[in-house]
Amino acid sequence: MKRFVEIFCAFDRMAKALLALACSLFGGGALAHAASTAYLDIGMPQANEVAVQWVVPLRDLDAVLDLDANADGQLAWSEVTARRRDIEALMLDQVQLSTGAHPCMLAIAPLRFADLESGGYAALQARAQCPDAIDRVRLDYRFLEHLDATHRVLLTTPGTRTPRPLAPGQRAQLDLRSAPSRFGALLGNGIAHILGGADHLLFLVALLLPAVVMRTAGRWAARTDLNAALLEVVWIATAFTVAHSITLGLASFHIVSIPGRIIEPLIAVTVLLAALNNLWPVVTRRLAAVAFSFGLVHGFGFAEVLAPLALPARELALALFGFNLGVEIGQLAIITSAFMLLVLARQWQGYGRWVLGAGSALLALTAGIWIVERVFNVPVFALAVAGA
Amino acid sequence: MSTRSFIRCLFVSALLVAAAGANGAPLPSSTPQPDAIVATQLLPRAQKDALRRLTAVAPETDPAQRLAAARRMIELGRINGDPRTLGYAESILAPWPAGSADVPVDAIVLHATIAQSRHAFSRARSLLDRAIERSKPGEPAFAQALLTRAAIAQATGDLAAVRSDCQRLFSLAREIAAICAASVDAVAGRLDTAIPVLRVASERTADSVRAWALGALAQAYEQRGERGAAENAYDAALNASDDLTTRLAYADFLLARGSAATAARLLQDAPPTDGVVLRQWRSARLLGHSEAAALEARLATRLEDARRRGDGSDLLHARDWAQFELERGAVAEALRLAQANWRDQREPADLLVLARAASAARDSDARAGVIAWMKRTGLQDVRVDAVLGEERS
Repeated sequence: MKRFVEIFCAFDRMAKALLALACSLFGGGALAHAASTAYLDIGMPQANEVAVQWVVPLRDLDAVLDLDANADGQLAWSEVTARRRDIEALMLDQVQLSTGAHPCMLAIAPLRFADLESGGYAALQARAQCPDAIDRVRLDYRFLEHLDATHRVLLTTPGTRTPRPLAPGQRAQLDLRSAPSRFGALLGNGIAHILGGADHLLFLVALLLPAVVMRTAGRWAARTDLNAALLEVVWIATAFTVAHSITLGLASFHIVSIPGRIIEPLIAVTVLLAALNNLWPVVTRRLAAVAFSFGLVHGFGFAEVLAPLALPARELALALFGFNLGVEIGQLAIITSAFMLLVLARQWQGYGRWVLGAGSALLALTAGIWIVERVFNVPVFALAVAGA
Repeated sequence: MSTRSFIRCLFVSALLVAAAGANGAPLPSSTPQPDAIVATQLLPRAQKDALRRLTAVAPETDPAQRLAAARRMIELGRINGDPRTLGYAESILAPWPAGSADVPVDAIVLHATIAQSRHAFSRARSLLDRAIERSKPGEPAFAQALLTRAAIAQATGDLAAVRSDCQRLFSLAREIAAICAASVDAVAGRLDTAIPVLRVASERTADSVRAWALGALAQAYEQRGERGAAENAYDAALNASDDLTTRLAYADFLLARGSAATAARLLQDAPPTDGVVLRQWRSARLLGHSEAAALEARLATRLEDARRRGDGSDLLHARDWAQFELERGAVAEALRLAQANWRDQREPADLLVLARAASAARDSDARAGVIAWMKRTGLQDVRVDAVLGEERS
């Protein structure tokens, strides 16, 4: 249909000027980039200081400041830095924080570049010094006011879980004291992740199944010494925890990073191996060592939950702690309930065959399907369910 | 491992974690080389100047210049696919808010065009009704408004309204009216009437008119499953007038046929809009290229950002996003997006995505909706038939 509008422009000579506009109509909606979006991260305040980062599309800065000195339609980094004073002045003028009646002073660090999915951005890092302690701070955001009403800044503060959009000319009253609620959110996130993440859960179950029994003369028999069984479980859980904490830390601080497409199948492999080990025992003692080495893999999986938050270092440490604590709480809940059930079940004659054997076989099958799904990126489960 | 050595191991690990914590995270920013290109597709200097000047001066300054600048902004957006130009155009038109009484009729049409570009169809339609009411058939604004209203009606599947607006165009431009009528016929079960009309029209016209007729012809051939003829028509359309929308439709056609390499070549130098990146991703996947993962991550981030804006940006191109989720295996989300898209947009390509999502999700209600629409309008489309047929067997 858009075509049809265009043609019309060509046809109607008397109305050329206005009709030419019709050529600009969008067709089936496949044309657009993302609309103009900036990001503003406000950190955790310390007394009357707070770290601020404004990440803003260079295309927008150019529209306002005409940074393109040689008018070639693109920006070299030198063209941007040549105008850094103007860019800083613009931030001082249009991104204002204040406490009470008084504005905060921004000390802006040297300009940096952020290469985001929707284009090139300028990253302006600053420390805001406010006259009063920063519990509540007011934000006046006026970038592109009267120029592009569809611009949005996505605002992140220590208390927010998802960024909040703000339009040019909007004011926001920010409560920066709510850091604990963010901590709480991450704690909840950690619990939800382990309880909802079937792979971590099944891995733990696979390790716990043989803990309440003992292998004697090639057969499984109920452990009589419950203290020993409990100790074994504690060792397993601790080893798993320590291991995944290490890799979660390493990945979150970008010291080591392994892409999800490698880690996700590997996690499934750990479930498979743990389950197979119950069926054809290779490692019968020191399951804690298995939990430790496999836990390293799971930690990288946990890190993928935190990575998209892109938290600054100082907050990341706290976030990491909160998230990990959540994972441990969830884990403790699983282990306690599973252990109690297993202690009751272990006396049953069929435990070895049905709980440990069939259970592990089922775990192995599940893990196998996950591996196929994650390696080939096909939803086997979904297909199987849909086909049923 | 003895208990003692295990404890030692724990202790070392704890130290490692603590050390990692003290190390600090690198921010996702860098300092590029001075000559590194960090942004492209900037607004041309003339438009930057116009934008700054016209948003700063008194409202009554030079209305003709203001209208021309707003128009130019919208045109630019169509070339580079950047919706921020719509925001700029709106700011230039700020002295004439769409709602007030004494706004020049040309400004109303421009406001309507902006709304239409943002898929705010009902707002655009009511503005156009007002513009048509306030102008006479001899005035440019009249034809412009009529044409835009017909375009919206076609996009939203209001075929009766397209027909009636086409008819009113007949006295102004016969050729246009014929193509317009044929493009309605093509989606209303009269492919056999539409195709010869479009073919003849494409032979008698040139440039963008010819490209329009050929693009519509290619779609009609696709609906009938005549792939060779469709390919020739797409080629000829791009030769007559290169246009991103035609290129994307052509790329979809090529991808559906499995010609991923040709599709990739077609989009090689296209501006990286969401629609372009989506199709680049699809072809990289079909070809087994390694950059598919990066392209997918890029699209996922863009979609997430669009959602976070909270203004429905994510639904603006819901047809494309539905296709994206569908191919990623997120079937339920794909169906949600396809249905959201279908509420606004009802062209064959929209129905096709809805049918695919409904079929993948095994949603019999959604599927029944697709069949009902085909019955009601008489739309013939072998691609939709194939999707529905697959599920039946």
